[in-house]
Amino acid sequence: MAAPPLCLSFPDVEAAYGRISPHVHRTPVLTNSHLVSLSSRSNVLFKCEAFQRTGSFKFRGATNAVLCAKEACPELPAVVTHSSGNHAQALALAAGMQGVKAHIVMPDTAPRTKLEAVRDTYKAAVTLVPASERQSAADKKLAEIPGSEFVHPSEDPRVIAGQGTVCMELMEQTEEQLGAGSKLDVVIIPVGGGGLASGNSVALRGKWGRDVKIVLAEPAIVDDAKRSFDAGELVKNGPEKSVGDGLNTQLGPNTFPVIKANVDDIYTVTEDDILRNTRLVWERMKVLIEPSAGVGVAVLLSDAFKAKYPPAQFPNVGVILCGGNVDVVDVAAKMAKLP
Amino acid sequence: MDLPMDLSTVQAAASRIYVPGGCVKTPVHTSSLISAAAGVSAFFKCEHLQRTGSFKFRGAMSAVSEVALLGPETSAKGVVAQSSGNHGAAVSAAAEAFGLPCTVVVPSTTPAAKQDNVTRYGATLVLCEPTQKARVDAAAREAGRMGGAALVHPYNDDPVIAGQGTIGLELMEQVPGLDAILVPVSGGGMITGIALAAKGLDPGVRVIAVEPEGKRLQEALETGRRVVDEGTGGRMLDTICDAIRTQPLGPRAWELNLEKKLLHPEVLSISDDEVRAAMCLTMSELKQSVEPAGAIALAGLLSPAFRELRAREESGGRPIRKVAVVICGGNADLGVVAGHIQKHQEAAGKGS
Repeated sequence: MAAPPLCLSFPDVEAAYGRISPHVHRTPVLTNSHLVSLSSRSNVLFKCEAFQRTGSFKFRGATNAVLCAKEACPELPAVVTHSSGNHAQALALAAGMQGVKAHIVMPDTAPRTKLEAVRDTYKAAVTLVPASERQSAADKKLAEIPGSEFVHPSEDPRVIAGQGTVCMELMEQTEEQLGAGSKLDVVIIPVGGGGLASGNSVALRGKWGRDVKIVLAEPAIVDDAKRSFDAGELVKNGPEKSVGDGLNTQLGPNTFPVIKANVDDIYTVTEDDILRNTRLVWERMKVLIEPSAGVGVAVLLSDAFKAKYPPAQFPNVGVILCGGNVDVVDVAAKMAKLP
Repeated sequence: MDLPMDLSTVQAAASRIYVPGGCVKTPVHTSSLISAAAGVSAFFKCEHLQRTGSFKFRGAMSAVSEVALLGPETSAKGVVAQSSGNHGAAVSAAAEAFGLPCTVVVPSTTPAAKQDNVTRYGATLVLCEPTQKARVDAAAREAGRMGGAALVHPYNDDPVIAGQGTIGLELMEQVPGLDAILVPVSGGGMITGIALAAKGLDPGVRVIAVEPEGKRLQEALETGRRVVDEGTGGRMLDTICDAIRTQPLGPRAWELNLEKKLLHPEVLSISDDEVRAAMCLTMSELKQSVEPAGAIALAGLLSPAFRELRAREESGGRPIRKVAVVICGGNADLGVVAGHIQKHQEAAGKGS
């Protein structure tokens, strides 16, 4: 019995790349001699999606989804989603830039700063509901506005294709920095809902095939991706939450099969390691990443990763720094408590 | 030594500083939100991403590369620097790049992050009292102890000024058609170097100083008195911008400005509160962690005084549309940074 086809393929990511390029920042790749030295590698390329519009890679997927929706329906009145995080801001701006109204359903426990960013800075309409009611509230909005479209933060194939453009750029930038024809030996990608991981795994396999190892990075406290990957089927998280708050979501029926097909390994890291490595990037690279991005750096510098992917055989590594939307005072206080 | 200081001096420095282990060409970042708030197209020159975390590495590489060219007997004696931190780290790293011994004298009040930054590149660290005189005396003593090491001054030194000027060369290449550059000012090494480069390439570019309140640079320029009154010569400014607390402009910067009219006559004077607000904005919009001095030029960009300055220039037929803002450094203790953000958030909360 053949497996059902994956929800997207390499041509979808290539098309997304062409489609969204005029609207997104081609973010820089930075390096840092201290972190490279700690990693024992020859080159570490940090892809800085914290500098993307709205402060995270989410803007890519949101833009691709809005543009595709508009291509299919030029009179598209609105897009709807439920999110309190980076996807909400991303969709709000992406829709606004295309003259489409964004309706965001947010949990009534969402931090004031995120609510204000979505509503006041990016001019989306916001409905606040208890977390358990978010899907029904979104459905209600969709029914109220004929022709409107739902854009899921990670399961929507248009979103996944858009996220894959991170590595489309990174692969080009690798050649610019390391020489024509160069490839990275490993790329480390944080995983939450799996949109970034699945989209970029398709991009990397599409252009570099199996020459590159794809390693995902996840907080141990919300390790549904690792457990699902090891079990071969979708497994859910418990109620605990990570300080890497962008990664508190779970894999779904679209993202999981793509990850299963393309990814080589998934490593998990402790909350302390996440905070420690986020601080390392703040202090040494001066880039204000959110703790979700610190997860990838923690894996890069972990003993487990070094043991299985020794620097001598895997000298050139890429790490996606996925976002920079962080409450600095709150996280700095947590860092101050580290042993 | 009275060698000419001009664009060609800066270009010569540029030929020495980008060696392996040396300076990097830093990126320019933009933010549509900040540009809209400021009413200009703003371009942020990210010197906090320079090696050692501040622009000081350019001047240090320029100066130390010259010492290295003096012949093995002289250069083996090494270099000495006195510094509030960033220059010390820069000279330490530059000395390491050229394999020379190095001692750095810093005030005892220097933040831990900056002290660590010096020693991680291999220099010997010596602490002194937090006054200009104590720094200068201690540096001279150390140079003697090393058998005649070369003193690398943080700003009153032509090769250092020329090195800092490479910021201007990069900017003019990265942002064609610049109308103005906002530059934090303390001893004046960076602003002088940038002006020599930028105005050497386009005399119409306005190089505008941004100072912590109390420096009184505009008063100094207007009265022609480098040290505005007795007692301010050795005093350190009371400002959260720990990197730029020198009160008077350095003598060489002053002299070059008199000769070549490098600085725009109006200086933007910025309060601690404005600096804190700008640090928060740098974090939330540019996603960068900067030290207080690193945010002061952004505070200048958004200040009412700059709005007025632009209006005057506009009515004089010299509009300001494209502005570069120099983010000069990012070396700060995390706890201190968090404290500044918290203070700003509390003040902002009270206002609403």
